[in-house]
Amino acid sequence: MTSDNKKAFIKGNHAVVEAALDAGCRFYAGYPITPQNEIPEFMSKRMPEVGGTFIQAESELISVNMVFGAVAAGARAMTTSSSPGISLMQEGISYMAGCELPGVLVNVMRGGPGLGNIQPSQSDYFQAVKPGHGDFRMITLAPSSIQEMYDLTFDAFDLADKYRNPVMILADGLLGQLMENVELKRDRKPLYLNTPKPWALTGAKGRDGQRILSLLMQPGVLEKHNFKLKEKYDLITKTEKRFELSGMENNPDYLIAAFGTVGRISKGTIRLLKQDGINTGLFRPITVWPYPYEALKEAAKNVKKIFVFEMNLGQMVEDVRLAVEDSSKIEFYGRPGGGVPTAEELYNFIKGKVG
Amino acid sequence: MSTEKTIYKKPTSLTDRPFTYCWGCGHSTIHKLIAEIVDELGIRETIIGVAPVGCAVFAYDFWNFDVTEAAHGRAPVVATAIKRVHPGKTVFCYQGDGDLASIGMAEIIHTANRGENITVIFINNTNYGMTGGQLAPTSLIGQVTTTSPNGRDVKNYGYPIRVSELLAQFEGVKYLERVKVTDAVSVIKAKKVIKKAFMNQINGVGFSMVEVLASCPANWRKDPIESNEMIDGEISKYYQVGVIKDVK
Amino acid sequence: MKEQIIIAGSGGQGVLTLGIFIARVAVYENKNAAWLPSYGAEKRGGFSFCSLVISDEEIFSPVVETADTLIAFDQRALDSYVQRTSKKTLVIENSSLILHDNINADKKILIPASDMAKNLDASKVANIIMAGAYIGIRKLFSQESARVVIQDMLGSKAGKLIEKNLSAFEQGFDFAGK
Repeated sequence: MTSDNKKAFIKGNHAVVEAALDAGCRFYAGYPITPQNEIPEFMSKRMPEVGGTFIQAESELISVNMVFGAVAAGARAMTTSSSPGISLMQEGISYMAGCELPGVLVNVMRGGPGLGNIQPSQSDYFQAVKPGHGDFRMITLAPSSIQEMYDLTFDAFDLADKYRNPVMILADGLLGQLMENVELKRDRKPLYLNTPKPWALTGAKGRDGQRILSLLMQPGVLEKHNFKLKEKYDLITKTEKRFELSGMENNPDYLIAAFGTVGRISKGTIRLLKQDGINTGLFRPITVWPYPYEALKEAAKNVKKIFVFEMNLGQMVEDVRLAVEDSSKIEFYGRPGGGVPTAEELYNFIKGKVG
Repeated sequence: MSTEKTIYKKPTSLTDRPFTYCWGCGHSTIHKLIAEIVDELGIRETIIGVAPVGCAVFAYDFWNFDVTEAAHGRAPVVATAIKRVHPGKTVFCYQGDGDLASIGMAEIIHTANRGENITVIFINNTNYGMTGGQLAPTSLIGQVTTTSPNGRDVKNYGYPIRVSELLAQFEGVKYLERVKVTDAVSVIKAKKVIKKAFMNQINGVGFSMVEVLASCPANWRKDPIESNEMIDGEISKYYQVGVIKDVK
Repeated sequence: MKEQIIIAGSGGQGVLTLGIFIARVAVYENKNAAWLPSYGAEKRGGFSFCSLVISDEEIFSPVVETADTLIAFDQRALDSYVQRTSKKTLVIENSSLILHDNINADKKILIPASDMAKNLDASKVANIIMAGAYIGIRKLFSQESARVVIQDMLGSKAGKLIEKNLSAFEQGFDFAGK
């Protein structure tokens, strides 16, 4: 694939690389872990072509802390991993949040807990939307196609710089490995790429030295800092919620809430239900933090049931409960440990509940 | 008109903030040496420092140049990334022995092995200072600490690690020297050595680390003079000062 | 139209490349295509497997449960994936490496792709021979599109290799037409 191709039939992992480079990412550190290995592999080839830095880090702790250093120095930087590696990266994520640094991370989720397996999973919803130690938030985007792997990765860099906050792409093994036709937006202009970063460490030319730190020991200072972060999180919550809502024009009796891979599979389920004359809407959050509670609440208002489908034992369903208030309307079906549901399987579950 | 002549002044690379370290602590001396060297090399506007977790986490309060914190033990990889982003800048990390030799052992080893062209100032005071004097990988055999109340017993705690000797075997490492700062002569010597470690980076020589044997009177339960005597005695007996590696 | 394909064999037979090739032919003809390799434990022990879904419409699930077409490169692959076929499944077998099958499918084609590849003095083109057979018998995509994609995929490589692949493709295509 040449770099000026507009359309490419590529893997999700490859799309992440192309999007990062198109968005101006010039520093990547990563460590091998399945099912995201193509990202460091493609990066090792592509990053030098654009004059950036590729480092194969010696652990996920090292890669995330390298990203900390690179973004502290003012670069656009990314690391990627899969679930067990993301657990290790929580240290660096928290530090970036505390220091208000715009690192981008990609989690190509696999089954857990522990070493788990390497099959697709959504088992890290919690550690994405409720990350790390300390009181902070991470913008989390959940793609469901290879086009979105590209588009949302690009967005992640813009959002990270816009808010000086870590951003995670919450993908899974299927999206990492899947190939689809993707439009590469080579002429899309990254936002904030050339916006000055006066806080970045570039050498104290003509000024006093400045610091990047999260250690605030004086009484009250950390509390104040956390309140300042809260204002930022409130602004993100107000401004950046994104979701796909479909089928509402038919006044559906039922609603499916699902993200990522299960979100797209659910569309097949909705088609099967339609053949039986059952109208079902789809709510697919694209930002899982900030979670689009209000939109879901509105969509759920007139349906009899909300079916929540996940590739885990029930994580996003907690946010659905917060959104719809009446929990009795919620039916959950999950496939943990690397299981990917089929459209028919989800159809059968709904049929079993609604007759 | 005036016959006054400046014979000493505070380095420009120090802020006005007085050091807040304990009496006799090695950090104050070493911080000041670094500030003097930065002034002398004229790199205050092009240097970027990485502070550790530990007592010297506050180093950025005292140096008047750009400094970032790093998570515990990760300073060398944070420094690696900064150096790769700004290859023309001088980048160094300043780490204690808990930070570098324990939780950050992987980071220092791989940074050394990659031969990153950075400078590392490694402060070895044989204990975890900030958390109250616990056993460090560098604590001497028999040393009483708050987590080795009966002294370091090798059966239970293993042996003190000589990090500089460990790093010497890596091809990517160009310069390693161990110094102390117990008297005027050793301080002058330490400054020369640290300056060389920075010069190496500026000249593109490669990874350079200076290990400084530093005292921690508060946790050693000794006065500063006794502490220095301990460094001159049993500590430098185990951790011998001098050049460990110097690739020309 | 919607076509769901499973391709299975062993490492080195070009199983994944064949899948990508068919997907790219479909994309070239403005279809949607989703290609998914096995990357898990199946990959160990020399297994190689991929599935693809081709459709005029948006592809929801890229996972193939029951194949419209099964392309099997060897006995082990055929035996492993027979349970994901139905009577309606088109089965294309590399008969050089498959000695027996008990598949109850309406449409089967046994093509000695490995032997044909050897005769072309290029064992690595067995997958392209299989591709030719698939395109020839399925008749979803044109031979011309396939030729374009072959040249595109081999782009930077020597003309001789392209010739060899085009000729392998044609042999498979012609075999299927017989």
